[in-house]
Amino acid sequence: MARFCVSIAFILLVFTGLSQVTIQGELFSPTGTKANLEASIIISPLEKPGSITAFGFSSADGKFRIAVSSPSDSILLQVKSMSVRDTILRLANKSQLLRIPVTEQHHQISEVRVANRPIFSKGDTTTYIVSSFVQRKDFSIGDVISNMPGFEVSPEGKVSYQGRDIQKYYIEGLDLLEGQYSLANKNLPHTAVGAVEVLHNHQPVKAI
Amino acid sequence: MKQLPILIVFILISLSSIAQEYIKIDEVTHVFIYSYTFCEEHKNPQSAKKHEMILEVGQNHSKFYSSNKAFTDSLLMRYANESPEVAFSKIFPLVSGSPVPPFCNFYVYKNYPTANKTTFIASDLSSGKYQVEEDIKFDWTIDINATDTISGLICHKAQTSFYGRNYTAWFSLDIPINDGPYKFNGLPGLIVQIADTDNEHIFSLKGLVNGNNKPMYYVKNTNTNTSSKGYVNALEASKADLIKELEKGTFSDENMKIRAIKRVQNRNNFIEKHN
Repeated sequence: MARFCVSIAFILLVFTGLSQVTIQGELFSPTGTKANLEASIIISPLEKPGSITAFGFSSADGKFRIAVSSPSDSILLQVKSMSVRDTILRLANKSQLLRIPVTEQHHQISEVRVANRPIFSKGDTTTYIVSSFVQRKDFSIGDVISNMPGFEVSPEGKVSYQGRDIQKYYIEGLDLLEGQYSLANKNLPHTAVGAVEVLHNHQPVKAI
Repeated sequence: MKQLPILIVFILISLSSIAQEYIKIDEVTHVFIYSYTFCEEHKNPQSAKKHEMILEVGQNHSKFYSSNKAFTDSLLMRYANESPEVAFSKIFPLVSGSPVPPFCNFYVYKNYPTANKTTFIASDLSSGKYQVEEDIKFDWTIDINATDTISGLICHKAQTSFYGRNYTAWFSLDIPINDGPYKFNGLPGLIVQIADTDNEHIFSLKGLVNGNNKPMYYVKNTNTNTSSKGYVNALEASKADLIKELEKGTFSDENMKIRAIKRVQNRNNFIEKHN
């Protein structure tokens, strides 16, 4: 007997689940002003307003047509667009023809800007973006290097990285000043430098 | 020396594109910045590359292209009245550090030049300029119960398939714009993230800025009309041309040449797949 009940319930569910209704309609602006009526039309179940059962789009003159198959008695219809105010209607779950008044309202999306990551590495090269480490008192590139994690700069301008003195100091890939690099370190303005790269397994002597 | 193949291609591009015409088609209301991660070689996660792409959305049209291309285009327009040699000498030093990977070298216009159609334009192939105009109707299946928060936006999940790959997209009703990266659209909100099931092609939203009604330009050219399949074939053909050029070239080191050719050969995983 118990099994019999279950099977009836199941059939009922399937029947209601299959019933498809068509919702047609038109958006219009009651003030008569010409608004851009292209919008997203979203149908959701009454008990879960955030989810989406069906969706469609209205054309430029505001007409739309959506097929909905939902088991519940009532459904929610949402009108969303960048140029009209969000409108929500509660409807009976049956085929119908609607005329929905909408008011013009321009939405603003808050801007999201992305900044570069201050430190990143690729292979055996670690790159430090100079502008991320500048403090107000800094003038030379050496001042900024001393702010970068892992670096230390002695008062004479010698640089060490993770406790070890650096081997070479290249400017644009060239060993311009050799041992005298502290000259550049103390006098090169940090505004002239984009990034500092650390080559971890550098081999300055070209073997073969 | 490693830069050589890229440089050669770049010189060809810049010279051919100096004398093109730009038409204003719309005003940009929003600019969405996507990061596009793609595997150049099929089934090789090591070959993954990343490139920044931008989606400009206007009142009626939208345009999706590489941000490096946007930079180059703005310079080409700035020097449009100079002689090609002068323009080239001014522009080249500025753009030589920002190449566009071959798989990102295109424009996608939605709703332009024909309403409700998507136009794909790739003008820098060795064999010519191509244009693919399509009426794409994506068949999206929305997963009612799946929601997630991506970049602070509440997103819904939808699935579709497109030219040989299956995609999962996350879109947000908070931005009710029926658009997305590449040729994707047809959802009630902006596509915030879309990836194929093998994670070989991933677009994800990284930033959004107001367009301040700056003009959206269409690059007018005489392009050869083709289909998606035709374009993929042309892409393969231009790859073969590049390999031929590399074989002719002189390299200081024979191994370097072999590696350069191999790298070009392994570029076999364009977003659209035809078997």
